[in-house]
Amino acid sequence: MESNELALTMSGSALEVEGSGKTEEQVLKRAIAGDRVAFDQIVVQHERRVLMTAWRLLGSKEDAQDAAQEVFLRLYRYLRHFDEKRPLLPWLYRMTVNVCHDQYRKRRQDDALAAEEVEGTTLTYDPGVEITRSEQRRMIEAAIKTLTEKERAAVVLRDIEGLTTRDVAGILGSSQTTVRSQISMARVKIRKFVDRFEKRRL
Amino acid sequence: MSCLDFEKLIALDIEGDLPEPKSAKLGAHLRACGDCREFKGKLLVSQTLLKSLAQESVEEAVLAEVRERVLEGIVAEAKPARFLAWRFALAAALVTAAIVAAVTLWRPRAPSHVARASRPPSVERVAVGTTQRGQDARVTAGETPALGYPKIPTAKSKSELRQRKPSGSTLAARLKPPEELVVKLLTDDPNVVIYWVVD
Repeated sequence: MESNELALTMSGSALEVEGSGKTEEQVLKRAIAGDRVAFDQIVVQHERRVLMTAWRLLGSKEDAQDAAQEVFLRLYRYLRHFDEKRPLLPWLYRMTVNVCHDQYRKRRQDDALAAEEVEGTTLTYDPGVEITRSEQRRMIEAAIKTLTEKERAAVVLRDIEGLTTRDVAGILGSSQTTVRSQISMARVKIRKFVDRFEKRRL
Repeated sequence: MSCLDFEKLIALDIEGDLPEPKSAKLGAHLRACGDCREFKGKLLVSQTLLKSLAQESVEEAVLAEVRERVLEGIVAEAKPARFLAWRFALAAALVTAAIVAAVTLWRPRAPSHVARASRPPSVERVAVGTTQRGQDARVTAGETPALGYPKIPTAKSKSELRQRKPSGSTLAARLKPPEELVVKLLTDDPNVVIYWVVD
């Protein structure tokens, strides 16, 4: 049932693929038939979303590029089995989360080290000087890094990508109750991280 | 419920994720609790910052690099596939050639009963003449054709044999070696038996 709901809320099949004059369903159909130009159009259409989601989940541009590359390669391999009537976007989000999860597991020890650095050396600031927009962004990015992997995925998809709780649950393969709990914890943790950051500035 | 519990509800309520009954309960608490109202205000600020990350742009060069790497990955995956296809084709050709060669060179094995008969030809002496006269020439020492060998034809007709009178009826004459010698030669082929009649 959740997958149907997901299809209703996240269907991009009626959207025109940028500059192609064709709907996503038409382009997807051609790509499934082996049209490389159509596949390239799909990559161009979704690359930013995939890359940015991976960037938020992994916290590094280089890792995000690796993840995005892997997501589109998996799409290319899986394409022949893809049902053109199904929306592509939920699948891409799910694959992005899975690929990032794989990378996260490989780098778990490095991440633990990075988490320790987050509140210390990686955030430099001038006490008494008003926090700049760039610093705010870095502060939030550092706060996201302190979350658990599941909290991070839930809050990135819900609050940054703007998906509904139901869609997030469908992508993560969890219940809506679980996702709500993860989102709640994540928001509180981020708020408290910001509090600590601001106290150090005073 | 403590304020810590309400913090979690506030975190859901600010984005409309809190079901109505709990939302009403939270509203009642917020009216009475200044700390939680303050926390809600701060949470709204951090949420605004968090959501602002969605507006960030990414350099075109970064996206182009991803595109290029995807293309390289697809090409790299296609190469081994072609190589493997070539190897499979070669292996199939070799197997086919081996099968053809085996079929060409294969000789069907004789059935077991024939195989038993496939022994070196044996030669038997068949006594025909004074002592065995009048009897069928195939009555020979050790003659037991294994598997339905055809009846041994007489080397000479019985009438012909009868014409030959014994040279004498004495014991000495009877002890003389037979005048006629029939040699039966068994071959590999059970249908072929060679008789050699020697006078």
